[in-house]
Amino acid sequence: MSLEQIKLCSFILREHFGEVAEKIVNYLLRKGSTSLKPLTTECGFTLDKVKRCLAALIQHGIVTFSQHKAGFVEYFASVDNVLSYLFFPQYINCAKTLFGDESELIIEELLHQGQLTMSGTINRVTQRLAQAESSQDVYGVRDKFVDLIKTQFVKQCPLLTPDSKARSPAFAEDTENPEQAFTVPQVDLAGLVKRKRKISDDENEDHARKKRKLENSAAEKCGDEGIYWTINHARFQQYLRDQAIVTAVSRKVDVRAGEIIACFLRISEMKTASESISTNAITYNEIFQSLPKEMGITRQILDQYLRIIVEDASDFLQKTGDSGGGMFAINFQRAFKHLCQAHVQSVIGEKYGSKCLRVYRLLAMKGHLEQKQIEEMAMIPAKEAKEMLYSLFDEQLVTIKEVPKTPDHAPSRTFYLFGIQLNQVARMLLQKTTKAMLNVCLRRAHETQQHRRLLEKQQRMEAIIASMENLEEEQKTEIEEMVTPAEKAQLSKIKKMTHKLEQCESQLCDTMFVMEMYIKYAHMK
Amino acid sequence: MAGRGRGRGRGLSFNLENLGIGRGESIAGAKLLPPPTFPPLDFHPQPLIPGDEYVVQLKQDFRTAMQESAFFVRPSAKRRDIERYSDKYQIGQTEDLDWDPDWSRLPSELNPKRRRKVRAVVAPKIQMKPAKKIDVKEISAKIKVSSMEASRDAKEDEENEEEEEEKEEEAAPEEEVYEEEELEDDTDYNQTYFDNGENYGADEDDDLEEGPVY
Repeated sequence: MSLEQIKLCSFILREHFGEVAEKIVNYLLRKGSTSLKPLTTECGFTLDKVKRCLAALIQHGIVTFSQHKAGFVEYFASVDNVLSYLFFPQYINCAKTLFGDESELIIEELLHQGQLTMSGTINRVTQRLAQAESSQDVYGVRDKFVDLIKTQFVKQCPLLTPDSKARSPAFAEDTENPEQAFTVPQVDLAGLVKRKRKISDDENEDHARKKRKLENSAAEKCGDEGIYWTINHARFQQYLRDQAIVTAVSRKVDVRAGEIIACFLRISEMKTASESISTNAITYNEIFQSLPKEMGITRQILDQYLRIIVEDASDFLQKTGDSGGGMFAINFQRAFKHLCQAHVQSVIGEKYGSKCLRVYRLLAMKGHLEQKQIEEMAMIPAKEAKEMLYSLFDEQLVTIKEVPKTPDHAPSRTFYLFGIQLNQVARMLLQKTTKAMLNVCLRRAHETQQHRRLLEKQQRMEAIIASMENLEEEQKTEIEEMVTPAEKAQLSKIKKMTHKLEQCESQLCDTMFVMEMYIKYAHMK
Repeated sequence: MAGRGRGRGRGLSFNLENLGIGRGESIAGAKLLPPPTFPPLDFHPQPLIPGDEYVVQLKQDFRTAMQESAFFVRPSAKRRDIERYSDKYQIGQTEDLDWDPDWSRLPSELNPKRRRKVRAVVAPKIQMKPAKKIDVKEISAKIKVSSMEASRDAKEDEENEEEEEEKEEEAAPEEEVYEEEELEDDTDYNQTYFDNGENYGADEDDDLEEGPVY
């Protein structure tokens, strides 16, 4: 939990939950845990606001609570859950590519609401689909939801334990049976179907309130009240991890190699525990059998591809044995070490130039080297090599190890070996990426804030056009002329800029992901 | 320590070549200024990789959806000097949306609709005994008997009193326990319903908003 992370956290919260949430979580992070009262006094908002905000944050899994021994309820906040908001667009995109539009909407709704019952989710999704005039019915959406549960992208929130006396509800942590979180409940959707028909009958505004009432009663009938579902972050992260490896392989070798690796990961998913360094070994025959037939890969071609990937310096796939036509496994630790190394190298190449990069790669290749050796081996003039090395050392990308010949550590009798500690470099880069992310976000917020009046004007204009149907062309252009050409130019400039900044955010997000994964796997044994 | 004084004027006391600085190279002088805030870039960054437009779109959509949802809690607007007509049309003044979470999954203290548990007020049960008619003869007879017995039971009484005291002592701890429970209850009450008076002012503000009562 670094300062940059906390700052980024508060920005994300301000953008998604408002100022009150930002202050509350900031205070919680600073104090570790507190009860309700100091929160209200310290943050300077009314009690109602704080309560409401805490409830919202709890529903979204950002704040957790537990009962203190002394009887009051104490609240905690977690940085990681806030930072995962950066990945939400990717989660939604991932659900879309894997399972289609309905699943995208399901994941979107779950992310918007934090947690929802199955019937509630299906209800919302069918409503949105009806708005978009899609022909998917309640049962189709249910099937998609079940798919998501079975593939573990969605998990069940822990159930309440029947303990009515406590001030805070306690949740049953079922550690013995982790499969419990992925069991599909029996949901009776008859009420939802009926209600849907009713809504299509009356589209009147006055009935809106009635409808809501009906909604509530329908939700009660479905038989799954109290069973809430939420996003399984670990599973999405795992998918993103696999995707990172697949894209790396397809860039390094070719697209078909990437598909082979994707297929390999799909088989291994079921056989490997989610928190292990490497996949279980899979035989050549298994890979061949599970390859889609459309790819038209013969045994011979597969053999060649596997050999290429195994012999590649990037270490993505290892051959672990010869039985069954050859056993293969992917070591995530090594794969992410390589990916991380590649990221660091590209940063050095772009920031300090190719000569620096040469020195760095020399060190990465050889491990530890003395300054003289580097000057000789880098094939750069000695003076320049020295400058490069020192600038790298200055940025702490390279470290020095002292090896004294005598125990007195006299400089004249000591070897100074330069080397790279990738773990430290990765952490530093992660920090810098976090900071860059924060800067980009702040810049975007600043731009929109500065031109808020203009943006609001445009929104108003669009709203007028949208609200008035069957406008004549003349009237429409008249309304559009409310925004002057100069303002239009300004608007398009802002749009372009914010778009660029957002794109930058999503790419920084990718870098952060690789660094985090590397650090995570580097610590596993 | 003979060599101490002789080093003077010769520069540093150790060989510079050990540090990688050769003969004739000058050492950079001390930096007296902080580095510039925006140092000139040696290398210009590459353009962004043309990425997934859809993800960017999703990001924007998700943000706006969250800002329009019930979870986005706005701080109550700061009151400026006077109330203006245009205040109504200012953006950001909109009230928070309705939202009814499952309160059984949240700590009960967060529920704004929770009612205070009304403590049952039990009227003390006092049984009034009907007043007895006093018979003077009976009483005088009783006094006689008791004065006779009193002298005889004096010793026994003392013993009895002692026993009673002991019994009281035994009973005492129970009472204490009971008192403790009450105390706990009291502090409990304080913790839950302690009002620091913050809401007091806010309530008044609300009243003001609706205008004076005629």
